[in-house]
Amino acid sequence: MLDQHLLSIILFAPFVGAVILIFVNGERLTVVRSIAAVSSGVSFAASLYLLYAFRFAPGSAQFQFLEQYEWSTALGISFFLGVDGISVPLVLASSVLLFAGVFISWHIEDRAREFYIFLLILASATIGVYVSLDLFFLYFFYEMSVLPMYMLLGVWGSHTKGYLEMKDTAKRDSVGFIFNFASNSKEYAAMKLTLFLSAGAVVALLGILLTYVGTGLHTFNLIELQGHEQQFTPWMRSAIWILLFFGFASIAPLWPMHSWSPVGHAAAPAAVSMLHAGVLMKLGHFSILRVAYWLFPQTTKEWAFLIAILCVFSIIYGGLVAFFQRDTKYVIGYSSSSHMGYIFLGMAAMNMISLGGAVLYMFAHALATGMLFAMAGFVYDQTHTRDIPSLGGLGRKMPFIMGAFVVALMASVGLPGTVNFIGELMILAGSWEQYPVQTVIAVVGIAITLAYLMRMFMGLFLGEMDPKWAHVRDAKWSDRLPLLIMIVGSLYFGLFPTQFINVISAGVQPLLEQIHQAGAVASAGGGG
Amino acid sequence: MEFTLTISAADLLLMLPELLLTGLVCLILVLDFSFPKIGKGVLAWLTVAGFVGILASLVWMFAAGVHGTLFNNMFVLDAFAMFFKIVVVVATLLVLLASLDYIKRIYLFRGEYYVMVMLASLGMLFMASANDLLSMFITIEFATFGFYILVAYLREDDLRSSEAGLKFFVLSVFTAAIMVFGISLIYGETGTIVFPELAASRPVLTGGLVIGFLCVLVGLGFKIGAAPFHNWIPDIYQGAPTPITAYLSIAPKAAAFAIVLRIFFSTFGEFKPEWVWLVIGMAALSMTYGNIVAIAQTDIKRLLAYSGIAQIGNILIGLAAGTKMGSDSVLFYLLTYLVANLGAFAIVIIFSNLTGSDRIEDYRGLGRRSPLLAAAMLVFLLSLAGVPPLAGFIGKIYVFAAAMREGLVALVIIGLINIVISMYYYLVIVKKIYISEPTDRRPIPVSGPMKAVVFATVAGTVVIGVYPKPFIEWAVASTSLFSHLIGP
Repeated sequence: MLDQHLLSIILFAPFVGAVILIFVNGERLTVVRSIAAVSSGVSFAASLYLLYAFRFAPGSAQFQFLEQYEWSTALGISFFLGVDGISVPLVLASSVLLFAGVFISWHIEDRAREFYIFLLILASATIGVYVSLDLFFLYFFYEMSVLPMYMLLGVWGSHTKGYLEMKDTAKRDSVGFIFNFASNSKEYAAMKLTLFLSAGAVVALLGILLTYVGTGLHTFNLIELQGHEQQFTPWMRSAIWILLFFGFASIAPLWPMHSWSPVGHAAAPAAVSMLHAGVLMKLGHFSILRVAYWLFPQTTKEWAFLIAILCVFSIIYGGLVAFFQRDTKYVIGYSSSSHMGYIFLGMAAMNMISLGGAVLYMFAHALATGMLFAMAGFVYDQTHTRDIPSLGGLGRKMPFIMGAFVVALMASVGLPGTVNFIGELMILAGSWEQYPVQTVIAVVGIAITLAYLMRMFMGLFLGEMDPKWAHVRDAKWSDRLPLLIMIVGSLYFGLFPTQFINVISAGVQPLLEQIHQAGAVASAGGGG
Repeated sequence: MEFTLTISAADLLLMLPELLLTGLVCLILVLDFSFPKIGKGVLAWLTVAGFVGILASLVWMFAAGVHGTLFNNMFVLDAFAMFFKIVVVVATLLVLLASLDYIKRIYLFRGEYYVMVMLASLGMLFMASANDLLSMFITIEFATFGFYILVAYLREDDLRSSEAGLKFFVLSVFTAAIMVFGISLIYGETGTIVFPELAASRPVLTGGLVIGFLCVLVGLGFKIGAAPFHNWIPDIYQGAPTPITAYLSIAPKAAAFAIVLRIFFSTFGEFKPEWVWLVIGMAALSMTYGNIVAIAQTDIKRLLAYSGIAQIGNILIGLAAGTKMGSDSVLFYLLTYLVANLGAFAIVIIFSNLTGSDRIEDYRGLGRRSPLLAAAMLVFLLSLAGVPPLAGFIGKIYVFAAAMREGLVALVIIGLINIVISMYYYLVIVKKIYISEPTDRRPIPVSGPMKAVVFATVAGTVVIGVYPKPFIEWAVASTSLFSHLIGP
């Protein structure tokens, strides 16, 4: 019974929470927060169970916990849920970050009810993408995850410093709203993010519709659609693959489609940045794996070089720009887009170790970047600034946060003991043979990461403290609990990664078999 | 041709909703004139009750599967006509409810207002059943006649209303003349005006027929408000009383699409390779023009007018597909457009009842003033923008999928680009509502009938979006007369 509906529980628990919140009096903050905490907690507990109930022994089904309901026969859509080894860690990451995010946002008082409604819908939609085995619903949830971001950034976000210093308010809010690139209002960030992601989504939708029509099967079922790659002309399947790849990669965000991301991170409230960098960006990688890799394995092989080229720019460009930022959230934002490059590198190399590492790194990065954003958000709430040079010496006031920051820093850089280390090592070891140049550059990228995170650490916590920060306090329980969960997760899975690696391998292996077989069949056909 | 008119009781049954409505019109008129003491509110509620009865009769006929033709094929009642009749009656019912408060700002002829709305809806009920060129022309003009008066109903109170009425009248009569000229040419070339006979006669595409067809297209394009025949829409939407704008943006368009589908798919279905380019052009132009110009609007009624032009462009994508699936998608999209657009106008009515303003700027901080109204507006705007899990998203995917199966990739690309453009201006309103701080913090009172309208449209938008299966099936079942049009 539980197993049959496990995915529905994970997916709909936050959503049900959001619906209940609509009917709750928004003034009663404790009730509002408790409902959010309970509904996200149910989802969290269920996805932990999912990790340990997933069968990875050889011979187990690739997709498990299947649920299928007829939705529209006229269009060939069914509500089809199921997970494989790739989606399990991402489902877990989403529900962990949602649960942590609910507590990180405990202090929000302005329209808290609406905030939690949108946050829960955002997380629910993200989980929906990870568990959908129907292409239509994958896209449905993908689009659904974009819009709450607009509301969360626009209403509960924060302007950057330059914006508030602009004196001409009429100009600032009219023309400046569209054209002002120097100083970003939260409205600007929200609109830019939404439009960029919508544009990426419709590009992917074009690829999806071409796939749907091209197979002639009249279904969106991802399992039935698989294996029909040869029905497309080489030109057509390349076009579809490019559309799917760039459409989905824009949320990843792959260089050069990343520009919405740091702005969005900077404007977003802490919990939203966490979810955004932690799991929303991985929607891109996941959808590429699930749609482009899964449906077009041979084309993937032909175009993998493109991923390998672009990922280097992501790693180096993101890292270098992060080094020169003054704003804490811009540092973490650019660092995230830099780290996304590692995942792309692992995806490009396409062997068991590298791809498995990429999936593990997605989970690892979610926890690490979640911690960093949570702490940047906490510091901002205390000091109302994110400007690194004007901060300093906060370590004496907030020892807990400083300690947690050290762990987060170690995790982000990928020091042994954290789950990031294993993921990074697998990616680098796996891609060395195929892309040695890229691998070397990626190692340099790790050094850059260390440099900018150390710089940020010293800027925030060491040195002389400005007397005006005398009032700041250390983390309360509602700030400590989520950080502790993420720290424990990062260390536990770093020390005992076997379960995780087994699960991921069970998901990665069939995908790679598809890719290698497709290449073999094609070359045999070409030879004969 | 000898024209004998014998009507049996069974024949009258086919026109049951129309006959009931005619009776209702007479009743309200007589009561209004004979007993001036009766409050106008009573008349209004009587009208609403009457419409509920008509809707019930339609539902009964739908369930019983009544169908047939009358008057030598002039009037046809089939599942297709039934769909549009139900749509028109539901739209009218919601508009009547939405008018109850608004009408209080009009001092004279309040009773006649309801009569005019009913006459227009009577015309539209007949439009859904029109089965030859002549009845098409007459029913369209009949339906439009009520609107000539309704658009100008604010008279001296708002000069824009009078201006809108005059503009609407002049332009509408002008295109009607073009259309009737086209009908005469088609009759001259083929010798018949009845749709099925036209299709059966397999006409040759002569110059006269082409010109006749184009002239009819001008008339129909004007009615659905597709570019390049859209120029009347913004001024008239802005000037007309808002409930009438809401009505005008939905019911006549739906009824006109009944005729458009019959003409394009059945009557001239054979000439699809020729007309498809016209429809593709109109669709691309409507979407792009409507969306780009909407960005610059400061008045919410004008913005919804331009967004309406773009939405019609989206529907035309389904028409361009020219298949059974295309017609299904058109019908389904009309449903999604009906609930979302009517809902958005309902919020505009509620807002202007208190503030008297339609400026987007005045919607600042609505999220703080009236959270529920703001949430409803958010739902409607996002549905129009095509965001899941709302109705508009399914509608858009449906028309795109239908067009894609016919290989209209370029048109789908234009449609997809337009989704992103439209997202911008819908979000600008969302920004005003939720992000900007209010200048005036008074909450906005919502009367009972308006609550009913908003609730019904929100429920419709969400339900169609989350569980569209019965609605898709209804659309599929309604277009069985096009089942010979199967794509390659």
